[in-house]
Amino acid sequence: MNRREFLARSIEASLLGYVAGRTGLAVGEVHAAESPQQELSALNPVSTYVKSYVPPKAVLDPERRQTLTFEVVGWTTDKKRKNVSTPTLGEVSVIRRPSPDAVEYALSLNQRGEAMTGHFLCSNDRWHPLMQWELEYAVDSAQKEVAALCRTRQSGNRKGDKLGMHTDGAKTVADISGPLLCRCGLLDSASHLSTLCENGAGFTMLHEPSGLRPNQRFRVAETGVLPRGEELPIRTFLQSGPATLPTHWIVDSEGRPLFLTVFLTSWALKAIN
Amino acid sequence: MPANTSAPNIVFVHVDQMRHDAISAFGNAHVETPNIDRLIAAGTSFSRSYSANPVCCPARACWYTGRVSSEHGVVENKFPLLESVPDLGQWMGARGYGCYYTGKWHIPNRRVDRSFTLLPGGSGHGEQGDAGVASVACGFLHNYADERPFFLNVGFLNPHDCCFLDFAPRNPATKFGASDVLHAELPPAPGSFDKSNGRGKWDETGVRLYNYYYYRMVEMVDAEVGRVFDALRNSRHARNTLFIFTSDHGEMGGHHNRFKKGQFYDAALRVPLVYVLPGQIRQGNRDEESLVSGVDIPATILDYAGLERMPRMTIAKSLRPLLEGTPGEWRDYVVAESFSESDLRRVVCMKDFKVFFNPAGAVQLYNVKDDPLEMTDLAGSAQHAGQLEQARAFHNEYVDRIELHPKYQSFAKV
Repeated sequence: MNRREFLARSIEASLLGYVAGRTGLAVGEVHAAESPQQELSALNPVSTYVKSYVPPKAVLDPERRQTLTFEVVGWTTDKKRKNVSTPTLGEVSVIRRPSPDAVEYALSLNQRGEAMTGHFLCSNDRWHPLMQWELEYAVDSAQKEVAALCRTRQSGNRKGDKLGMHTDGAKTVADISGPLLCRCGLLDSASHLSTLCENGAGFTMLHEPSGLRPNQRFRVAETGVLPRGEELPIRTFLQSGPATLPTHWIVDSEGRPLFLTVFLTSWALKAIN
Repeated sequence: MPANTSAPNIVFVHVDQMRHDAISAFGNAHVETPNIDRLIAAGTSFSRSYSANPVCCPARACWYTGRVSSEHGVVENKFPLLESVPDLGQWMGARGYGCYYTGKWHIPNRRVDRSFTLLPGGSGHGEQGDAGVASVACGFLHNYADERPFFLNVGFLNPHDCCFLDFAPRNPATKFGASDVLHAELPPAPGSFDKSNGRGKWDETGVRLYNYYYYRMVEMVDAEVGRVFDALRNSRHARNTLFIFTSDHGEMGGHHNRFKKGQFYDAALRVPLVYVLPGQIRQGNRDEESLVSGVDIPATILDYAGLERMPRMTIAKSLRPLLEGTPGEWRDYVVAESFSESDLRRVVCMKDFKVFFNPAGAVQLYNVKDDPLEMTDLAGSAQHAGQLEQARAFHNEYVDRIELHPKYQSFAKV
């Protein structure tokens, strides 16, 4: 997609967003005018970080094994609450291993002494619905007995309308309808997010390690460019639903998920290997 | 009086800045709290539960000492706790309990690792750390195999992250643009919000977006509370563990055009409170009458643990009779304190009325039964002079019972 096509689609998407929201764009314009440094409020949580952000050079290739590396970006202020900083809190890596019928993702998240590893098996459909998963959470501690005391494991699988979960050996079964998605699979299918918006259907999200977030949905949100010297067109998709702060999946014209911005914690794509 | 090995374990889960009405089981259609709803169904909840001081550090100091702010000295954040006042970790640890802590502590002049075995977890922000705190607590409940009964404290941050919505006005993390897309889903502004008097970006739409964020933060921490509760229910400790859930204070969220805490209005002062203990505490019981305070929590914990009270817990009462349905008289009022504009202030909460006092003599009187939004100050009404006099008498009785910290002798009786 060239830049002209991208912008044309962006305008169309903005109009759709406006109609769906049934609200005055004037409100957004006022806020934009109040914060001239920030064109897209979707980027507010990474406003400082994005100034020096360099996207990876490689492209996504769903047919191949690839590793996506994200930085976990925090948002904080100084004590006077005037100057903002966006420190790097940790790193997330997602390894994609495709096979003819499925895609397996290996997740590794390290953030301030906390470590989470997980394996997610997703079907090969467009949005990579989740079929089964395993998670382990551990903490660093100088006291080994304390670290052992805090280790916890979770696994789950979906069979039709039943969702089975094991947490530290305890089993639960719940009913589920609609798609079950996970962050790894969605990051890998970011180029299809607009079709999820068109679809309009709700889905359940596995938000590891906290659990399942039902009744989630995507909507087309703001479009624009990254505020850097070299203009980089981006589209944003807003995820909302219970237990989900307004979460923007920010995708470039290559379909790469450059940012996943929330509020005080966001992810930024640093490398594709 | 050391704890014996059959004494109940205690899991004390607290969140930060959760308003009393931010719960779907209590009829709030703008928030979904399926896990706190489950707690309410499994135990006894209190509708008239008041923070002992609606600010983080003081409220927490009251929980862990059983004494009020003008006794232990933590009347505001950063004010130090008197060294001579013991806390629950020290007290129960010395009497046979294994005392553990994960998450937010926030009591000045008292290191948590000197009172508890400190477990990892917690980052200062709910969004960044609460999932880790819950994971640590879940791991603990699965792995704990000591013979000693345990006292596990789980301090979640959210929905306190709402404080950051208002930080750095020129470069915020808040996505104001989302209000366009989410407009139809934004909750209404609170009934006491004056639309003609909005504050900068916190006009009516801003306040609605603020509360949209706030309710999602409540739902995020609800999920973590549910994980801890499930981990307990699925553990070997399920039948012999008292589970307590509460918040240090509420959140104004635009009520009376104010945000955050430190106010005596119900939005900041009233907090959720639930106790669960299978076989002993009444299930699904909603106590909508009894006036209870944050200082009652340690008294209740020590009662169930079978341990003597800490010294000079003058105001605190064990809620056990209310939890188990034992007939008896309850108190007629609770007092809460707060420090504002360089002054210690107090509020007397009675059955139908609340009276705010400050040391200069100013008072406000609200009929909380007929005017739950606390819109009409009746202090100047001759018709309500009796309620005002009653509140003064209660206030002075309270002052007679407590042992005032040397710094706060000046605000004694009214």
